[in-house]
Amino acid sequence: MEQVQTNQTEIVRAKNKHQKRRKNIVSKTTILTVLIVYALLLFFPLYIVLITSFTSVEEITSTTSFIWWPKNFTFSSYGNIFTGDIYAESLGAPTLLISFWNTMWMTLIPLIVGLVVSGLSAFAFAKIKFPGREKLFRFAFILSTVPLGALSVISYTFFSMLGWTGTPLPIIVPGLFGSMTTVFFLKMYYEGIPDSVIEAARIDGLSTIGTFVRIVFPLALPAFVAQFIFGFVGRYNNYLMPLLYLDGDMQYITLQLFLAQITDIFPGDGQESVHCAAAVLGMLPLIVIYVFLQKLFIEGIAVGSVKG
Amino acid sequence: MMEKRASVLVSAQETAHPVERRARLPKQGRKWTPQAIVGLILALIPLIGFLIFSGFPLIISFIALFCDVDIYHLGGFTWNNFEGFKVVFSPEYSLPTYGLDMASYFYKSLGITFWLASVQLVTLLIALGVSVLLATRPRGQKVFYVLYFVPYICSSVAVALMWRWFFNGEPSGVLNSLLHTNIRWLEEPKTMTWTIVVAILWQAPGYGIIMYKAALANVDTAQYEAASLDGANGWHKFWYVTLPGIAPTTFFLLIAGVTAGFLTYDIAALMIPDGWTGYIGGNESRGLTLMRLSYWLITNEQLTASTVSASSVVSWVLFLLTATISWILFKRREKSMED
Repeated sequence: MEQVQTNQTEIVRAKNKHQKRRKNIVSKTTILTVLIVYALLLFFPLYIVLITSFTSVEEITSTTSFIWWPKNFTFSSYGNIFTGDIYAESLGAPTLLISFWNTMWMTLIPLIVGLVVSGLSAFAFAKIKFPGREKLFRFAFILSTVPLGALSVISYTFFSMLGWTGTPLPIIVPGLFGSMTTVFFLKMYYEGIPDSVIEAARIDGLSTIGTFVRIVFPLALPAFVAQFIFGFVGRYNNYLMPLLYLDGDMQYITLQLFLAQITDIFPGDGQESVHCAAAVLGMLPLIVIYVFLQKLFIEGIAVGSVKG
Repeated sequence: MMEKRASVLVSAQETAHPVERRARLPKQGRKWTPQAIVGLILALIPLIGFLIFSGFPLIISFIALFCDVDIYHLGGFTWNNFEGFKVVFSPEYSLPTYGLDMASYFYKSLGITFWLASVQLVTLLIALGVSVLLATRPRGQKVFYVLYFVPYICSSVAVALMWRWFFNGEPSGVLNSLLHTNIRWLEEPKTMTWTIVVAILWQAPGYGIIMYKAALANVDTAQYEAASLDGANGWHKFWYVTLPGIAPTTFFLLIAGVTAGFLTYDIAALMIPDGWTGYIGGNESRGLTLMRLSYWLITNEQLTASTVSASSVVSWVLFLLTATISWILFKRREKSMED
């Protein structure tokens, strides 16, 4: 009798288990489907830009519907960006190259100098004792919580009074002083470094700067990399600041300004393939770096933007 | 994660340089030793930069609310009898140089700005939904994370180029080809703002998905087990365990998202340029945000003292708006932490 009962319960249990597993498989498939559909939605616009960049101008102008798959793949649009550029002669090089070069130095100079300055400041706040340090830190922290983004346009008045508009100075100089949010982030990271390590360096005769360069910086390298990536993406993609301050001066044109004007630089019917090719080339550097360093990228952006 | 790595590195460093246990140095921090002065100077540099490049614009724009400002020379402020406020808020008062009724532009852009800022709430929901699905550890979870983040690293200029091509008004446009329609999506007042909304919804969730990744991983698994023992189903667990567990991240994303939403400039200006219709911010100003209005006022060709003042007023409206929202959300957060 008992035997039968346990048998029955076992059967019921097995049945339940079976049902549960089936339900699990169903929900797993549903989840996977939703995720795949979302991924396809995200990549659809990237696809149309990529495919148009490989379509010839003749093919685009010959039909009245969108070309999902060109009859002949061509790279001519990519060549056109360099050869068909009406400003190339006066600038001495294709606008794309000029703008890429400008973007690079306008991004890297303030970013690298700013990171070093922020790194030293965070080092002072975390590891060098001076009177009033905690009070100063609290003051700086409260100041930086004020959301000043709304004043980025009206800051034009200040830079105009300095006579800096029409030059890259408003884009570069403020960055050279480092940023307070970077200071908070790095300080938090430094606090994980034991004071004994710093003290040992001091006893070994290293100066303050020497301790930073030889000991602190190598230990906090992941934090610096995170901040670098966060800052690089932000500056590389920035559009409003160059637009506001460079006054349309072609010698200072940045990659984003070039892309924004692409329809004026390459006007006419069927030039969409050139516009799309330019968009692809503009996005390519970041996407290539991203593919190789995705983990650092994702960490950098997630960690880099959390304040205080 | 990062901290763990740091401590590993630290211990490696310690074994490489065995610390000699000497007597501790005399207590520092109360005196202005040369080292303390170096420390103070190093600590101060970012603060000085902040005070110069954020403080002065703040002060000058505040003065410009009430004064005519000569933006080509430092100094020279003259009281303008609320001219900037009149230009922005009063419908009867039109801009002298253009005869434009700026107040109608202002109220219109206020509406569009709130509309676009509210899209951030939808963004947050998408990010949350996708993150919860990803947290079930489906096959290819890592690949999904990598893919979903791609839109976030695309510049708004490239994103606008992409979506303008998608919404192209010719019959050969992508959407028109798909629907066999002939609608000028980017010029038709009914659809213009929605094209901006689509571009924002495409780009913005990636950030939230990444931020939620860590938050969801940190929710205490013991709580899920306890809830299961109490007979909670999946929905209950989500509502009573997951949501409270990720609340700090949601709160952060909400502040960051809504603030960014109110400050929308790039994507709106690039999707719907000013154009030749005579309107600022595209046909019927359907793409005009407050940032764009402020930008237009400070960069238009016939810049006068009153347009600078008006631009300041618009910027300060935005500043007070974003500051208030941050402040309210902070207070709310503090209150809920006390409970």
